[in-house]
Amino acid sequence: MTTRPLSYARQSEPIQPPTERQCPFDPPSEFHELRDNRPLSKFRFPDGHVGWMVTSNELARAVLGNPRFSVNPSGSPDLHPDRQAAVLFDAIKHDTDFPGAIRALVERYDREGRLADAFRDPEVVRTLHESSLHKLSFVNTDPPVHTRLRRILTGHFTVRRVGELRPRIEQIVTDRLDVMEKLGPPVDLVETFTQKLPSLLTCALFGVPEDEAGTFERLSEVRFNSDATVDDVLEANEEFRAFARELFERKRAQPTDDLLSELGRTGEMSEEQMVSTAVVLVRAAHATTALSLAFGVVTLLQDRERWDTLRNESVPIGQIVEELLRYTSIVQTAGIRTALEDVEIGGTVIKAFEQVAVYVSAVNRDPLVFAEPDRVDLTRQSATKHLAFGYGVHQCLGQQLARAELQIALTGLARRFPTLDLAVPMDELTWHRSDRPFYGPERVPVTW
Amino acid sequence: MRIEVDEDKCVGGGQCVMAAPEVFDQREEDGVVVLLDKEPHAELHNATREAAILCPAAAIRIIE
Repeated sequence: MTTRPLSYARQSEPIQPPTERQCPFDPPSEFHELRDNRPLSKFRFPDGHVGWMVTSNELARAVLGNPRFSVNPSGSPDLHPDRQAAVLFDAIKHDTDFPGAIRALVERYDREGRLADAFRDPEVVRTLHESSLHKLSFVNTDPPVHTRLRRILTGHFTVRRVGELRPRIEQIVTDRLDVMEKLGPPVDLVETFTQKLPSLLTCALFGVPEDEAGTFERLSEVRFNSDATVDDVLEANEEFRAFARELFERKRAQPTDDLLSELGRTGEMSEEQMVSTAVVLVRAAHATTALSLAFGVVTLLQDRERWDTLRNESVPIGQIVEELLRYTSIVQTAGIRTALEDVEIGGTVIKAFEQVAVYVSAVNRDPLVFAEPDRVDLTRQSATKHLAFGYGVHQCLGQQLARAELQIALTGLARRFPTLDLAVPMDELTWHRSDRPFYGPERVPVTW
Repeated sequence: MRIEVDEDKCVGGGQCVMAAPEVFDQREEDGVVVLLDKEPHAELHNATREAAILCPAAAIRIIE
């Protein structure tokens, strides 16, 4: 139900991404006008190349659900494409099956100092789409390779399987609440609670001792740190991969009942694919869940009525969490999509090999789907239609686990510390820079 | 109302189970959708429609 045809979109001037937030709780206000008038806009990526930006719920589903868009190469539009290109180039260099002629083509771009352009070259994109680059995981592949790789994992993340993990999650939450209580107020909720949960849970899932949690946290952070150089990222990648390889070695020697041991047993993935998968699983789980929880708590504490609603347990926690996921929308943009052929979206033709950035944070405030979208309504029935977990075949694999973590963590926090509040004025909170792929509060000092 | 599911399209997201657990389940080994009730009762129709809308892979087809 778009308000006007979008055929004019090709003729317009490319816009820069709106990045500055006027209010920390709301995406940049420029998105309102864009979404109302030009939900598909010509867009200038950080490295200067021109593509498209999508800001409405309807068009987001149209793009993310369309098999003619590839995630290869993917990456967040907030991160400079040079960095994503470097990682992809690294993968190609190590893949003995990658067609030599295309590798030579990428190398030529690199020599000319235009590596990022290589990954918009039709020949390279087509080759990537068809290859099952052994170093890549399901995140950077398209169907049918993606389908096969993802299916190896989905059984571990079903509603039922996650339900079986709930007691473990509850235990981890209780332990962290104990730590907070022992430290006494004030504490930084991020350092003592929100950042610890996902890495401790990963330890549980992977069957590794909890003292490895710090390694997972450290290696996950580098990838998303805008101050890190390309070399920092590649180095962290290598260290992470070496660590994952070592974990798989341990599991081969002494298999236990955990995700890594099972991955090793299936024999359906190459060694390098397993390593990539393990790294992706840790990275995807870490910063996202931690931030979602932190931003969720701050949102609830911003208005005492909201906190009381959580405390009273008068609204199902599942519903509260869906609205918080929609409102906080910590993943601001979905991974970049590259058109494999000319595709018509809402009356405009996106040409083959042009790239599209879907601004999820804007999409989750679409007034055509969410009445008064900038208002937090913990009883909102339409909240389930958010795209905080994305859409299409790449929709977050761990979404049920994420939901369980958020539900259990928030419930536990409210029960243990019913008088929880910020220990500093709201306007003293600091928030992530707009050029980071995930957005949320940096520290959350709390008291009770 | 009659329902059809496309197992090949399913990515195991579980949104259908969340929306209508009486109608949908997931396979143990790979999370692919299992249709529990091809022709659900009237009181389950809204939940079923919600499940179809939420499915990220558009794998649920409703024939009204």
